[in-house]
Amino acid sequence: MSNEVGTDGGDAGAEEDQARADAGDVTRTDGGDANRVLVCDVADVPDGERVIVDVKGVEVGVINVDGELFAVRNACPHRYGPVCEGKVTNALVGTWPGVGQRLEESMTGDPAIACPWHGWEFDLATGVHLGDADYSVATYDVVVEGDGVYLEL
Amino acid sequence: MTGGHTVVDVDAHYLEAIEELAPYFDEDDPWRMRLQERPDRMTPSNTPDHYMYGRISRDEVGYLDGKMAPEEVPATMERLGIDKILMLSHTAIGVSRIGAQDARPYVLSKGYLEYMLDQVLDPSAGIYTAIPVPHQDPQDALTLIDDYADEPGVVALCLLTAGPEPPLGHRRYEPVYEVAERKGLPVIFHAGGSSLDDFYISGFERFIESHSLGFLWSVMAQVTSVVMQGVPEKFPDLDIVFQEAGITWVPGYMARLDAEYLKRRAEVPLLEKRPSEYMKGFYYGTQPMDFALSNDWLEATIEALGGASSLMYASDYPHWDYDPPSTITDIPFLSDAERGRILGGNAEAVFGI
Repeated sequence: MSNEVGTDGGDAGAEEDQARADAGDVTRTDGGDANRVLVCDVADVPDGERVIVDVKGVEVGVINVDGELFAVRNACPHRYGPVCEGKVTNALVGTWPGVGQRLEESMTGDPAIACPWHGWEFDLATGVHLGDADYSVATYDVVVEGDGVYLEL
Repeated sequence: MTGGHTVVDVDAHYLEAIEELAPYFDEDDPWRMRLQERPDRMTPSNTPDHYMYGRISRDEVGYLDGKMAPEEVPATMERLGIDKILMLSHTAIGVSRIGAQDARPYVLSKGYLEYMLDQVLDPSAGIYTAIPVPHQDPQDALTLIDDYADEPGVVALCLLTAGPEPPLGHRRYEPVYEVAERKGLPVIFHAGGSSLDDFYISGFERFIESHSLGFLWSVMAQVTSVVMQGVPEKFPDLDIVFQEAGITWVPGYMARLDAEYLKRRAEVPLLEKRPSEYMKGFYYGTQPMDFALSNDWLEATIEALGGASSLMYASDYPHWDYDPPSTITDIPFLSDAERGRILGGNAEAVFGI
C-alpha cells in the first residue's frame, strides 16, 4: 500500500492493528440498491460536522463541508491513522510572483483533510494525496435521499 | 583503459596565485595594490594540513607551493588521461567563507576570470572554467555573468555550498538562476566547509572528522533549500550539478526528504512531486568516490539516484583525495554506454563542450 519503509510490524499496537483491519476492502454486494448503504441521517452531519460510521466492518467518515457531504475511509494509507478525525481546510496553494519575490500563500484550494497522526493530506473529493498522486485514501460517492445519507459502494 | 570514451573531468582545481591577479586591475584601482602586497590576507584559512605533513604529495604541480602554472593543466590532463577539463578556482573555496561585505568576493572572481582567459583557458585544448559566483552579493554575480559568461571557455557558474546564508534556495539568488537558465549556463553547487576551525560545530579534533562530515553537511543543507524552495519548479530548464560530496549520500537523503514531504506538503506548495524526483533531475560529480560496501549496494545506489545519466566523472585534482578515471572504469557492473556517459558524455551534453 505504501512503499515507505515501515516500523517493525511485529510490535504494532492494538490501535494500529484495528486500523490495519479497517483498511481492508469493503465487501461489495451484488444487485442495484444493495450497493447503496444507509449510513446516517442528514441531521447527524450538519455543516462543519462529521460522523464516523461502520460500513460492513469498515470505518468511514462522512464529512459536511459547507453543505457538501464527503465520505472517506478512516484509514490513512501511510500508517493507517484515523484520517477522518483530522483537520479539514481548503488546500494551501502557493503562487510564485516572480524572480526574487516571496511565495504568496492562500487557502484557496479544494477541500482537503489531513491525517492527525502524521499530516498526510488528501483531497476530500478524490482522496488523492495533495503532494503525490501515487497515494490516495478511498472515497465514496454520497447520495442524500429524504432524510437518509447513503454511500455508493 | 577508458574504452575509447571521451573523458571529461568536471571538477579540477586551478590554484591561482593571488598576486598574479593584480595586473588585471587598473593602476589606480586600490585592489591592484592590495592583491599585490598581501595576497595571503585575502581569504579565510583552512586548517589543518590536508596533505598530512608530507604523506601525500603533488610534486608534479606547484599546488603545494602555493600556485599553479598554466602549462601544468595540459600536463595534468595528459598524465591522468583526461580529454576535457573544467578547472574551478581554488581560491573560490575560501572566498565563499568570507563573511564580510567588502568587495573581495567580486574582485577575486574577476581577477581569476581575467587571469584564466589570458593564460589558461583553451577550448581547443579542452580547458574550461566556471564563473565563481560571489554569493555575498548577487548583483555582483550578475555583473560577472554579463562580463564573462560569453567568453570562450566559460561554460558554467559555480557556487560553493559552504558559506551562503541564507541557503541557496532563498529568493535572493533567483536573479542568478534566472540568467543562468536563460543563457543555458549550468549551475555547479560545489561542496565546501571542511576546515577544522570555523566548523559548523566546534570541538572536532582531527581533519578526518571535519572533512568526512563537512562536505556532506553543506551539500545536504543546500539541496534541502534548493529543492524545498522550489528552484527546479521556478527554473525548470536550469541544469544543476552537485559536486564533491560523493554520490552515496544521495539516495538516503532522497528517502528522508520524501518522507518529510508527504507529511508536510502544505509548507512547500510549489512542489509538484516528491523531492527525490527533483533530485533525480540533478547531476552529481562522482568524486570523492565512497568506499563500495559491496558492488550490489553501489549498483542499487546509482540506480536509485537516477542512474548513469545523472553522474559525471570528477577528479578534484590536485586536492588530497582526488579520483583518477579508473575510479569509474573499475566499476564492474556498468555497461559500456553507462561508462561512457559518466566518463564524459553527460558532461559534454550539459556543459555544451
